[in-house]
Amino acid sequence: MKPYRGRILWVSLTTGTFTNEELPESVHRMYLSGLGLAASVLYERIPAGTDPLGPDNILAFVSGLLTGSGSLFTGRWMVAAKSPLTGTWGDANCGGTLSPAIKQCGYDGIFVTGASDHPVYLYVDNHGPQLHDATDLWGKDAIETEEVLKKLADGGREPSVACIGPAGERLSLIAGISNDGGRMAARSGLGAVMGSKMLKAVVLSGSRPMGSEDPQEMVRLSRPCAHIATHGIPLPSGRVMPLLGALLRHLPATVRMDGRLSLPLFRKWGTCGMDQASVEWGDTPVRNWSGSEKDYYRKLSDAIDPDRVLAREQRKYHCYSCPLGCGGMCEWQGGETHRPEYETIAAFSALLMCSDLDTIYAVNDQLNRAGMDTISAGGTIAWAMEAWEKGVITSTDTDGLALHWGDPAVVQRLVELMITREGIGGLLADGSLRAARHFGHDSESFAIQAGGQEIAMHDPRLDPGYALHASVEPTPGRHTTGCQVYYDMYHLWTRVAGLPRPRPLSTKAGKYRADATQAAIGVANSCFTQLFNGAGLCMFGAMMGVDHIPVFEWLNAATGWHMTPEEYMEVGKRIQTIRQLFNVREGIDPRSLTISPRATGHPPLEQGANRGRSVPLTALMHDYWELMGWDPDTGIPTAQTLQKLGIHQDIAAVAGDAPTSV
Amino acid sequence: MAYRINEKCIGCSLCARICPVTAIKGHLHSMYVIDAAVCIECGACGRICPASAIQDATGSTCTHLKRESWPRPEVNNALCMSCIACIQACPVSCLGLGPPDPRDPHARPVLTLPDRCIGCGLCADACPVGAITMK
Repeated sequence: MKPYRGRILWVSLTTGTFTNEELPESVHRMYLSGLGLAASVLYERIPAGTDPLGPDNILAFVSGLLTGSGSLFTGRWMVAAKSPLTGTWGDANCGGTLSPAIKQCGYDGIFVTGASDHPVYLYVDNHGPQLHDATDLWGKDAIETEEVLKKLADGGREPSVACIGPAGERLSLIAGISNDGGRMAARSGLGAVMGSKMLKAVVLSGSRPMGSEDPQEMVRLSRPCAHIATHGIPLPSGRVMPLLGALLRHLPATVRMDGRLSLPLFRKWGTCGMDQASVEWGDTPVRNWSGSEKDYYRKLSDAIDPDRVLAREQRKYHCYSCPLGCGGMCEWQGGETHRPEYETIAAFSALLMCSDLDTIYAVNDQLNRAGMDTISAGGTIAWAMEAWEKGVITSTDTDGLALHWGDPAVVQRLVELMITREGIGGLLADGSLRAARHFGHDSESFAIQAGGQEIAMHDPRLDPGYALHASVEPTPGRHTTGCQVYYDMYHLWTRVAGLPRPRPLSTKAGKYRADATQAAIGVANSCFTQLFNGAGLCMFGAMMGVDHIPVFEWLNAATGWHMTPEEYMEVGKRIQTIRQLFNVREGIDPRSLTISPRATGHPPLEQGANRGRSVPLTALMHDYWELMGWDPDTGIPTAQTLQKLGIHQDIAAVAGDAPTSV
Repeated sequence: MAYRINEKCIGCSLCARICPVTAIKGHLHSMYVIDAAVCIECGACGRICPASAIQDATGSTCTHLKRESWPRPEVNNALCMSCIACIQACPVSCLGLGPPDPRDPHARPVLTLPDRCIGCGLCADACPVGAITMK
């Protein structure tokens, strides 16, 4: 059995009709599935200049090629469309259970076009798709919505649900799409696209078996990988973590990171294990990217001691096919909620100078229920607090609310206002850049974003790779697409010929040079990221290193192909390039998507872990674009590169298959 | 390929009632039909049919078995990773996570609704590390 279905579902909400489209195998060989499939289809089908919140935008829900094949860490689903937040290619990535559910309905992806004139939800099972009225669900939060829809199963098979909360309904440009009780495909504002189509939920109840071409080989490959993920070294108390962070800060050299060491940490604490340590070594931004660990000192960061965060946890949460279980379900207000992740904790602690764990739990639950991106929400509130401090926003704008740094009550109130779009919340719900442009007074300079999307809680002044990738990504402002530490952990040089092998120890100053090695690392990161987005692989799995997580070997065993790692990396480059082409066709200048200067050390910080550091972003971008085969000065893919990647021929092949009615 | 009902069918409707995806249609005392586009080849119809009227995807006639002797999943917790692939694969949602153990917060799958299990083995097929056997 092939691990992909070779079929996508088209749903027209305007006409209430469905069509199946068969895909030739060549599409999967060229783009795998997941974001590769979405990019190849949406580049072809979304008309240039489409209003992201209009009916012509297409919202794609896609599964990974390796999902259900017997591989591990491969349960990621992705959503893609033109982003209303950035106006660029938009995508978001999430764990949970939706990726297998798409395949169990018989599809590799579900593509939603048009717009309904009343709230609806899409239901798909083995018999096919149906649209149902969702008027009674409109206004309910994401978790309530999922509970209601699961109850409709009435003792039958429990469906997987992706839905929006009030943030998406109210077209907040930082709205996400929720799955499995508050896991969030958060970025790019795609919850607003779903809201604009009046599509409240996608409910998938198919049960078609999934598999691979060589199930025995898949088990043989998966067992050692599972053993590594589940048998790590025992870890001490959480109080050791900030000491570890401080140690890394003081070390005169950079140590090449091994992702296998991070797995026990994620297994014990989840991503929250990194929060306090990251403040200490300079990864977590402080006070809207203007402070350091000297401002958010240990007494404040003790609120986010990983053991304290974990105290509410009742059980571990595993996404589909994940042996690690980095998530956690926690007691909260008489019910259960997902444990806050690293990003949410950082965005609502150090970034805002807030030191209150209950507030973090409260806003995490509120934002998950609302279906709003916690990274952008925290980043936007950080901008608002600085704007208040500088007098750009006054009490007249806030109905008397004083936006003092670190005030837990103010943080919670602003989150409520953003969700309901009341008062100043109406502006903040569309992100910091739009709010800054509304208020003016040079406040755009401290809206820390790339292309209009708030950047995540990882400081490019510690790892310049974050600045590069947030700026060159067709979906700007992303942190999961590459950095120098990720490259260390991916171990790509063990499988892919010609890639540089970082030294075990190197000088910290070397990280801030733009040279051929950094360009090679950046390009390899992008290609591999898009490859694993096509496969549906979780980044934390990829961090084990390709010599321990057999991505290339799984792909061949699952599909029956005999492609080399270099050929698979070319697939990643193809996906990255077509995403970039999408932006170019929209008339977007890639040079306009760069990250805010403050986050790259322009001017540099005067104290703390990242004191005096600046990222040579322009040179890094130039070298990256050149090695990608894109124009080094403009970031536009060259005709020669497109020909080499076979992009145009393949697009024509996709377009050639006529859809059939369901 | 899918399962198929042949002319031995006595129209008892047991197959239609147990099919987890409602792929089987028909009227009492007349021949039932499996919708090949919907069938997931779970084999429940073949096991329950008292008239040996059902052929599997290879054309072999399915053997009737008493429900209490249908195989059920047994999880090897030493191999299991709590990855929920089995729970997701189950067409009747008879598997769920067991209660968390204070010594190991990674809950393991258990047969929460044994009466609903149809012995299809899709859970075992879905396990990435072969931790489930049907017994």
